[in-house]
Amino acid sequence: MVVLTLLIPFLASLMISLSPNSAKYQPKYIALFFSLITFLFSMSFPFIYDFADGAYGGYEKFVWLNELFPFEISIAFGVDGLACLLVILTNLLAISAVLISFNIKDKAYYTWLMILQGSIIGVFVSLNLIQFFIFWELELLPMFMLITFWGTGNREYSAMKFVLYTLVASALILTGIIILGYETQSFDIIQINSMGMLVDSELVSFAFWFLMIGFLIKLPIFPFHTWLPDAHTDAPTAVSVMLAGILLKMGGYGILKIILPTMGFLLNDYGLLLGSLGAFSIIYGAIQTLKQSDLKRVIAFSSISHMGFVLVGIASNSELGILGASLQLITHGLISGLLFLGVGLIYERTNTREISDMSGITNQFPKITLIMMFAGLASLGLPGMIGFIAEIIIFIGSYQSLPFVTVVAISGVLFSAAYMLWSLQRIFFGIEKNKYNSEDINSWPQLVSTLLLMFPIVAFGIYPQPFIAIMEEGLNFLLNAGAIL
Amino acid sequence: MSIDNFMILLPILTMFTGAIVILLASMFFDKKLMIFTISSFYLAVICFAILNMHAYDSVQLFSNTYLYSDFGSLLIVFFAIIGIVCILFSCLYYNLAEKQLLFGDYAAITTTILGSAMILVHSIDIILMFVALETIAICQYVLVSLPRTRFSAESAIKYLLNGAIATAIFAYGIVFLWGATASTNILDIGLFITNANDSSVAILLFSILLITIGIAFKMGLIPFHGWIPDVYFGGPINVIAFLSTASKGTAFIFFAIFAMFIIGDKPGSLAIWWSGWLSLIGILSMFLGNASALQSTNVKKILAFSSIAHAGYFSLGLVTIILGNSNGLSSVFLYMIAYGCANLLVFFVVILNSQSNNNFSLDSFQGLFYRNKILGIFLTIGLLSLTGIPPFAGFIGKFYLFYNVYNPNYWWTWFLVIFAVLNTVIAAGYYFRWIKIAFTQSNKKINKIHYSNSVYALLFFLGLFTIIIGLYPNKIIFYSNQMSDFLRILLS
Amino acid sequence: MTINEFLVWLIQFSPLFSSALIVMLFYKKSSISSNISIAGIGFSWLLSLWLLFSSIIEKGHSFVMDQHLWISVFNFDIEFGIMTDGLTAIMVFVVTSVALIVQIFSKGYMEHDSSIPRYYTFLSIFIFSMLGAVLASNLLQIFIFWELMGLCSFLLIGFWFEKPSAVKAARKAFLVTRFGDLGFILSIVLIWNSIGSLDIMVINSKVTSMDTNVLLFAAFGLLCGAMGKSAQFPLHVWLPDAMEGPTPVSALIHAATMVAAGVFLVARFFPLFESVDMIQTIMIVIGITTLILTGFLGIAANDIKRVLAYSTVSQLGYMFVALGLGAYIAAIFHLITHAFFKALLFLCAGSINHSTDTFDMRNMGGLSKLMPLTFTTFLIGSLSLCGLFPFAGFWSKELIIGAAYEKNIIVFVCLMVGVFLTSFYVFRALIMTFFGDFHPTSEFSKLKKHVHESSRVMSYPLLVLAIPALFLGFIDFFHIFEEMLYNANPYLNSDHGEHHFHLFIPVISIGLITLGAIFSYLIFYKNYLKLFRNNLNSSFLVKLLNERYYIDYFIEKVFVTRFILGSLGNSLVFFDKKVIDRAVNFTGKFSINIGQIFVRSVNGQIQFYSFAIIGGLLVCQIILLLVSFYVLGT
Repeated sequence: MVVLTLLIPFLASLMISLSPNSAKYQPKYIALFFSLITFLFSMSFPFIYDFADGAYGGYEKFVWLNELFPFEISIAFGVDGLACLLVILTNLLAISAVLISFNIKDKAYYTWLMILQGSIIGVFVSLNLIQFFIFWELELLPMFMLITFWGTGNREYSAMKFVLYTLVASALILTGIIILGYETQSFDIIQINSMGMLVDSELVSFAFWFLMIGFLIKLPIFPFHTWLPDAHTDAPTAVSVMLAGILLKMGGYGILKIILPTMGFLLNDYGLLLGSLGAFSIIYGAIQTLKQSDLKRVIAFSSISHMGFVLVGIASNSELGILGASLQLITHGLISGLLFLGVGLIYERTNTREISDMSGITNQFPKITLIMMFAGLASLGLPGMIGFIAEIIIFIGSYQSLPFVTVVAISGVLFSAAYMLWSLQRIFFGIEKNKYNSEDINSWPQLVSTLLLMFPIVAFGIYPQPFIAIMEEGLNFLLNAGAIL
Repeated sequence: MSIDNFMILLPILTMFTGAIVILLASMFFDKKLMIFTISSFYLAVICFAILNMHAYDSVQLFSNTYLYSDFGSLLIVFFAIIGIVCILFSCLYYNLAEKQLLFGDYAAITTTILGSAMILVHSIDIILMFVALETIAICQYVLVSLPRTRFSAESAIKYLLNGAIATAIFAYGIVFLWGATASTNILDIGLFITNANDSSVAILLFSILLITIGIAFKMGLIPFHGWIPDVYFGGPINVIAFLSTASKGTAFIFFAIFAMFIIGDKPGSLAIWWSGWLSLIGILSMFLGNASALQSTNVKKILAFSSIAHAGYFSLGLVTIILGNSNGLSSVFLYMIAYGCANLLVFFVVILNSQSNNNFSLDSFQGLFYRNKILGIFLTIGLLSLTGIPPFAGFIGKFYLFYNVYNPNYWWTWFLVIFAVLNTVIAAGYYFRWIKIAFTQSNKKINKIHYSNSVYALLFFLGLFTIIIGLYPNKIIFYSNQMSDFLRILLS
Repeated sequence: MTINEFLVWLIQFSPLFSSALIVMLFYKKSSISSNISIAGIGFSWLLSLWLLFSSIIEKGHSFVMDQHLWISVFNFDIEFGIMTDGLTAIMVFVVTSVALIVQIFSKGYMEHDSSIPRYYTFLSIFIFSMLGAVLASNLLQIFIFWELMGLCSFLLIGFWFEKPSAVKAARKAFLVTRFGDLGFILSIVLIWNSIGSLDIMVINSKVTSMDTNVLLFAAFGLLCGAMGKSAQFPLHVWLPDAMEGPTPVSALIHAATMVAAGVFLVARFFPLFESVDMIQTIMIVIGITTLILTGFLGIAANDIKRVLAYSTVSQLGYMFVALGLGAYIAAIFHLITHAFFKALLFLCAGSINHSTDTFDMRNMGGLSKLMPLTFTTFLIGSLSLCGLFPFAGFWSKELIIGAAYEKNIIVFVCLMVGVFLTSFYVFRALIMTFFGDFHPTSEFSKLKKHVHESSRVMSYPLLVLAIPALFLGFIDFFHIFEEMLYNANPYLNSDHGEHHFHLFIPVISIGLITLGAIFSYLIFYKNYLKLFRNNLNSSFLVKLLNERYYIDYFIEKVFVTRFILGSLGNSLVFFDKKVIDRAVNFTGKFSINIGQIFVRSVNGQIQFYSFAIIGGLLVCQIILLLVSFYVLGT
């Protein structure tokens, strides 16, 4: 089932690119159909697989390279609790991304979008470091293409910046993976994780930092963040959704899946440093948002700020902190996805993202206002919505080991409220400035794409237990590094 | 010479016979018949090599100057395939008469080069090596000047003059090596070096340095790279495609085997020195090559500098061999195949794109994807493979190479890995720019371009190979590992 | 009398259901939506009445209710449930009563507004949140509803979102209260990390076993949260601005919901607070500062709602002082009486505004004849606010002052000053609004004939509220109230609110009230001391009061605009753009530049190439020679 879920997007991309140019086979419907199927498939994971004690669902293993290295390398697929949720998130956002771009007719666009989806799923279901890295890299090209050709503004620069920046991250990760391979004589993630912690050596701390910085670039954390605002600003809506929603999560996932079980003990040494970096990132990103005039940049910097919480949670190296961090991955995925959907909807109607150009548009677009206010409130961690749970768990978890960092991180809550409300108010409320001759949301794809994300934000915000239970089972394994297949 | 020896040499003999027959046939045959003749010869070579692969144990021939092995047969297959692909492609899609290049000459010289290369990779005697290398070099000079235009003549003369200096240095190196070890057989030399005491290291180093520089010239490492941009720019592009893949590959493989014999299992202080130079040169080549390609707007120049940069990666692979990594040879070989396929793919697309207007600027690729989808896709595959983006061969080649570069006994190999890895990022800069241009829809009216199915078949073959190797490089590594294991047995 | 858990939940959720009903079905129908909302809260009110009686019978002891697992992950188990003790029962009753009346009043007040369904939706959710916070059995549960309340206040204050000032006020309210909530979050974190539970009962029972420092910070954190919501100095800045919302909302915020929540929180965790002396001192200091400073502000304000707002802050100061003194019961009692009379006053202000279209007292005057009912009720409310015998406010305030007298004489004096100030500004408001004649310069005087008593839907609620404002104080005689509150919290370590009755205290305070009234009368009605007034107008003191002690100025202009958005923001943007991003771009440009320099070496000169080859060889040789000489020694 897992392998099938991975293959379907690639299949879809092939079908879209080969489909005849007729009104009957519009690429958007093919894309929608297949993303729905992948979503349904991935939704079945929590029901058909048992993740208890960190077991992997849908585990498949194929011998791949047995000559290259002194040890055998197998392609392995499988999802644990964490990956399962991330895959579901990916597929959910993919549906939204397809729906929001329903006015685009290009076949190539949907082809790249599907490849993007497939490669991201690949990252989450891979249980081999090389394979993980392959999918990690594979996502670059579709992103590059989508930003370059369907983006806005200074898109070519941003796309190139994105690719080169993330390639630096990949380079560091590759180096880290090579060291891990040397240290453990294996590339199999399950096997590596089940070995327990590595023996502390200079090389291991090298590997730790290579992997860590690589993942931090992707996350992104100050001072490795400058690719994100540019990429977000110039990307088309659907790509922004995917970028903020899932691509950033790959960094956090990498830390959780690769660094923690093998080199987690180094967090005791470097936790304070990383935690401070995370806390600084929270404040830094938040203050940057206050100074931005472009709505997408505001949200991009808010992503940086929110990912700071993830780092704080992880750096604390406590069960709850890490749990909160992984929850934050999911919640931020949903919330920032929704925010970008909202921005896309606004941009489509007003043709501007400059906050100062808009004012009091709520009378014209009440539904969009509702969506954006909803997303903004979720983003600032309003209780009753999913973001709050992640943040409070991070705070509670990280306090024990990083008290001062936690205090700084908590102040981020105020900042997030400040920039979210301020920017949303400037856009929607106040005196009506311009009259736009376009209507509020009136097509079903746009409405559905936002509702899809709003539902889980509220549902799991009110009762998070089913969702957290899956996460806990996944993390049990990573935290206790015990191999059970 | 027994019949067995004859069978072992049969592929090479066929190669040389083929060269003569092709040359003769070009006077009488028309194009179709020529293609048939050439293909049949190459196919015969491939068949013979494959038959040999499982028939014989490894053996030394001709007063221990020639070493037969399965790996050697594999290399023969590899060279033959590259050769036939290049020749067929040139024939199919390059209007040779118009470019004043006699197809027969081209095919015959190419075949000769490959024949010599096949000998070179088998030779374990420095005299035979020198002869083979020089044959290749001379043929290359001729090949570059073949169109007899002003540019190609100029390139050829530059190539020749520089090549002469390099050859001289190489010959000096051989002489000193012979002087130091009193042997021309590299097995003996290797044994001598293994047992040598530190006092004789200096002279050995001196000779090996000279040899290294001689080959570095052929590989195109900085600062011995001067000819590459000029020859790439001035020479006929189908020849360049061949040069950058087959003959450069020869140099790498030769150097790899040479280093393996010289160093053996126990790298001493000599190895450290040697690898130190080579990595220094390699780093320079990587960085400067990539940086220069980054600012070029001419595809030929980009390819020239990218080939310099790739030579830098190769030299890291050679460093691993010198430092005694048992998988070093395999990693160089794998990377060579990956690089060869991708490079040819890119070259072929460049040739096809520039065929009509002889325009090699990057802008001429604008909207390539919309003019011809297949061309666009294959260009993308080739470039991504060169960048090292999975799932293409370039990735697994680079990964395997970098994995092996690190040697726990020598801490500084770390820097090589990091540097090389970061260099791929710079490389991505220009490869991705190229891809972007190919996918950018131009405002001008699109004239769709079409080619015959056979050219697509060739492209498809290379593209498929790139992907297959990227996904499943097992078999190739199996053979090359066998080879290096055998050499190890031989040396111990 | 057994109590059904489901019905208690229903108290809380019935407003939510009504709002959901409005959103889903009747979003376009104004009158139906308001009726649904009123019905929802009315149902809650009936149930709360029943809860109150049950609680009275149980003497305020907590009913045992099931706890429901909300999150259970690793060792983090959070159970949500309901606490139904005396404090809860009383609070729920007060909240629902005031809310019901406000809802009914709103029906008249908002009749001309175009978005009544939205208004009622927000209002219902607001009440839902407040009830949730009151009924919660878990600290996290309180926090959730606490924040939702903040959201609703944001939505309601900014209800007229076309008004930039309303939008700003809404943001200010949310952010200032959230600033306090940072402390709340911190104390959640601290408490969980110290005792591993967030259950209110567990927290209160384990106070003694907690580390002193943790206890101090946890209590202080909670206090910050309470200060934010209850608008204590220096977080009081949001409350006067919150006037931008519809007046019934102000009534709700000032009486029964937002501001009450802060005091309620402290009361809920009273064992935590009373175990740290320092926190008690802080509470007293904050309370006194607040009540005196805002008392002065009340004198300077010309907007009737603003006067009431400052009086709210000031009265909350009393409650905090009471809490700081340990007079927990007195504080709650004052909270309750205040809820009723302040709701009454605000609704009166709303009623005035509804017929006069202004809130500026300088444009009013002589309304006592035109709006007699409003005047009467306003008068009752005012006197109750002053604490005049026998109005409700008297009893509760007397308890606080009495407690202060026994604990600390300085506090007592300060409270007395507060009493005087209260009476002074209350009478000023009364005089300016209802007595005399229209102000000669006001435009409003032309509209005199349009001014009329409000419709029944607005005036009856005033009458209803006037009853508790008059008589609620007598409830204290039965000691039911004290008993209920006392039993609500089994972990209190002393008797609370018990003090001896000193006759001279009410005498002094009534004297001060009279004095205040006389001063007001002389200055604002008779226009005596005119000279003094004129001097005062230009004086620094008045400017200080008009600028609200420059606190808002400092926060908004200096801290936020100049510092955060100004120097800090600009320097960070500079850093981001010019340092980090430039470093990134530089790396790229650097590679290209190196390439450009290097490409020049490929100049087509064959001599140069040969030189490079030989040069490379020589360099390598020299290195070899040097190193072999020095290192290898040969």
